[in-house]
Amino acid sequence: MPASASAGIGLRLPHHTDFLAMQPSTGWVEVHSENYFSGPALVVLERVRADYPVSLHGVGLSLGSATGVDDTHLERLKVLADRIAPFLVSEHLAWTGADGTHLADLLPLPLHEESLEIFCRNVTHAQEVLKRQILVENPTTYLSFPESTIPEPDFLAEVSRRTGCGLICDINNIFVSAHNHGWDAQTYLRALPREAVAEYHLAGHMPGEAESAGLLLDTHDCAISPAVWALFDEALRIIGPCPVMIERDARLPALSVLLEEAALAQTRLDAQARSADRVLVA
Amino acid sequence: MYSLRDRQKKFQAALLAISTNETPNGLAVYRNNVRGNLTLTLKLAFPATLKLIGEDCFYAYAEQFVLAQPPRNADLHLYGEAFPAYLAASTLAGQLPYLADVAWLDWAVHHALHAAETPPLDPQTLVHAPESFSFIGHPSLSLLALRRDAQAIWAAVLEEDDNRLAGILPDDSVAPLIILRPRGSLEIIELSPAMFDLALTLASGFPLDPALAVIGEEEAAQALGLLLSYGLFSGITPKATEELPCPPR
Repeated sequence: MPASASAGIGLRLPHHTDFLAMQPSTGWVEVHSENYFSGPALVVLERVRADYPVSLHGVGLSLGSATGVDDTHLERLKVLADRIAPFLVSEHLAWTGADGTHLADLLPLPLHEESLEIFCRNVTHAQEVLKRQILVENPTTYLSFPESTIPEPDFLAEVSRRTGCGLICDINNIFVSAHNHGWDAQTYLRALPREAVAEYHLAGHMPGEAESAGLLLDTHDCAISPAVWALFDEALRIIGPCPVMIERDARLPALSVLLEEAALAQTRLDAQARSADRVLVA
Repeated sequence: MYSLRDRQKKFQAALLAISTNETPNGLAVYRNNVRGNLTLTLKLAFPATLKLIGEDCFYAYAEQFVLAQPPRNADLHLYGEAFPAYLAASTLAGQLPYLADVAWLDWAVHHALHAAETPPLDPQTLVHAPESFSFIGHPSLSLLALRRDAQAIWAAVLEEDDNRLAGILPDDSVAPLIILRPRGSLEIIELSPAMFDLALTLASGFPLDPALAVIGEEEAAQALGLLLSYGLFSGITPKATEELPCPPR
């Protein structure tokens, strides 16, 4: 893996020009796949790809859909992946719409045997079409369903076991969902199959207001909180190092701000690697 | 217990329902995300329309549209084609008769920018063309017959040139436009009515000879050469003579 245990950034459209001009020394970049299905942005991504490993992170495949994934969408993802040759391709434990409608949000999945079978079937189909392993990311959720019977990390572990997919461990999503549902974040981390985790995500969150009061919201619009950095340190101890991505989607700061956060993540990865070396020497 | 399919249909219906104060706060987050993401999608596709009517008004109409006609394709670049017609049927159209045409122009530009990158048809290809064939319209192409003032308003609004905008006189005569991006850069070209009809006929897949006969043989070669130079077509496809439809006259 070219970006093994290095820190990268989420590259968003408003940063394209700055990124090409700066040629920053980030380990890799991750982009939202759907933004590059068409249009002039794809040309920029090809220029970026010439110098950096690229990860394709999708938001529209709807792997949790009871009626299966949209094969047209999957084929367009395959065309993009064949063109960009990404080192990672990922999606979410979520669905985006029912019966042909697409709602442009990562919607929560009831977690039980039927949804597990459906989700695994869709992941297997996607991997067969793409002819590669994909990663599945733990989502942020704001509600749970009474019919759910399987804890989320156990569900993800079983999806990985049955399909061979890898996992993205989104530290901020665990922190936010743990707050919203009263979970213990460290217990969640320990329940994930460490050998399947191939990427971390780090992002910012905000407290909800008005009708969302009491919840934390996965806003991706601010700096990573100290509590999320601390949980990331815990994840590095429990799961170990792997590529980590700084994810910002709204109220984008200057590119340099994201690169500074990536440098902080890299420092933590390096510290964990030194710590692991000391253990081996001892 | 709900099956997954039933649960998802029920959840989706709740997200698209008119909001009430009784929405549980977790559901409210998803409802607000869906409406926010989809109205943002429309905002990005309709920049001049947004500036023309302002954020608050745009969001009000966009949210109504989102709930009435949510996307049917996961590629959100394709979402919004029906928004100009929605605006044309709204009460706003009575106050701003050029509004829907500005929105159509926004959509045509958005469509051109996100169409597949395809080289235009090389005229030399026609030397070896089959006896009977029809053209394939370039994937970035839109043909619009708009109010003449709409393009000027669209350009002035995007450039935030209030003085120019204030000086534009109402003009509901028709400006036949082609909007396309055949060679990497956006082109907006006004055609004569006869050329527009020919372009529309050929880009719709009607065969060459009957279409050219409509404008007269003398002008035919020149007209076709002009359309080819604009990059209106991306290819040709053979057609059997007995299956030819009539041109739309």
